[in-house]
Amino acid sequence: LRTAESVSPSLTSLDVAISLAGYMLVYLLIYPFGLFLMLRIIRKGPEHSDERASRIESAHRPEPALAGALDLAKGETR
Amino acid sequence: MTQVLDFVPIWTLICGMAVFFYVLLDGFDLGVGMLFGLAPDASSRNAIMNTIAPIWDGNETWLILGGLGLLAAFPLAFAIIIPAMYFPILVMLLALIFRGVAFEFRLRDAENKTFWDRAFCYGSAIGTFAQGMVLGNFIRGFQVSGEQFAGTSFDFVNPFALFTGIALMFGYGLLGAGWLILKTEGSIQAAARRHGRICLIAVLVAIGAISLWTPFMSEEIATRWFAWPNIAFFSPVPIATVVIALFTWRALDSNSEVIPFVGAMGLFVVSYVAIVISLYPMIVPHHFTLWQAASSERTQAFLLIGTLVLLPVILMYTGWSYWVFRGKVRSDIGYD
Repeated sequence: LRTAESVSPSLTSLDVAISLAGYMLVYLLIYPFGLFLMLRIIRKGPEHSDERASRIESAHRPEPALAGALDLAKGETR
Repeated sequence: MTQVLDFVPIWTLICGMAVFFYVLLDGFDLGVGMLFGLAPDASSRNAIMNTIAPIWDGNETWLILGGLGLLAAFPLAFAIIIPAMYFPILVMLLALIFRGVAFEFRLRDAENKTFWDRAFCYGSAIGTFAQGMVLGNFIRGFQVSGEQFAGTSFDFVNPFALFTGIALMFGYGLLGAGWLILKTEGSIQAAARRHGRICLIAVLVAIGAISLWTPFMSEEIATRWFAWPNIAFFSPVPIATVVIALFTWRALDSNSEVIPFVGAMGLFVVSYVAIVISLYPMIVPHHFTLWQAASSERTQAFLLIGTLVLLPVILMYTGWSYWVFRGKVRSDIGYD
């Protein structure tokens, strides 16, 4: 079966052109926008306030259960 | 080769389940996406986003499973339904792209209502509307000659499908409101209850209208439901619908945080059962049964091996992710 023979009979070249244009439009909008957002992040530079860093750190504090396992791994017993 | 096992019921169950899980799961997060557009301020927008951020993309797994299951197990149905639904499915996919990207892009400026906040809401709404049109056209039936779709790519526009498209927006809105009641507190929850009530009324009107419309549209569906003794067997379905609707309405008005979502899912279950009763055993309504559209027994057996390994894995990680992210969300802690 050749590609041309397996095309859906209802599908016209206009349909395909419309859908291709749809995809192109969406991607042409999304990629430049993503680039713009990334450039803006770079322009702003890294954050200097400690507030954010401390928030992340506090969220990542080891759980008590994990702390016990860490002690065990170091050869300490409670 | 003698037939040892009929794989068609198994594949019917797998595809039917996948589609139903998709409708329930992506249904609520698309609904949340639409309700997001009604949120009054940045903090409620962020909280609403956080209720679905960890799970929304996993929900779309079921769409892929349902679609590919249809392609592999019922290729004849796939070859007719997909070309017939070319534009609704295209629009749905493009809308879902917008919606998916909006999750990432809006976070870069979450304090302000940006283009991507709107993209998230409209993407959800358009995607839902397109899915509703696919459903309406599927129930209505396609123009078929031989083993091919014989209509044009624009046949999807018809009053019934437009109606089911709008109906599904309210249906997903109801699911989304149920989810927000479950996951949020305070003013966001109160707003979700208000929106849920409006959606519930619209859903009940839609269920009633579609129940009257379909028997007039198709004699087969009318006989299926109203001929004796079927009417006795099937009467629990409309009765259950009314009972669930009453419970959901009362739960929306009460303090219950779980029942509205369960009730919304219940309404989807009875609607799905009603569609199955109306159409079974046709997979291309009025033209082909599940057995006529099925791929060869060997194909179905071969595919079943992989699927039976994968399905429990998908179910487990899906269950796990819902478990990990259980409980209420807040606007200030979340995914970024």
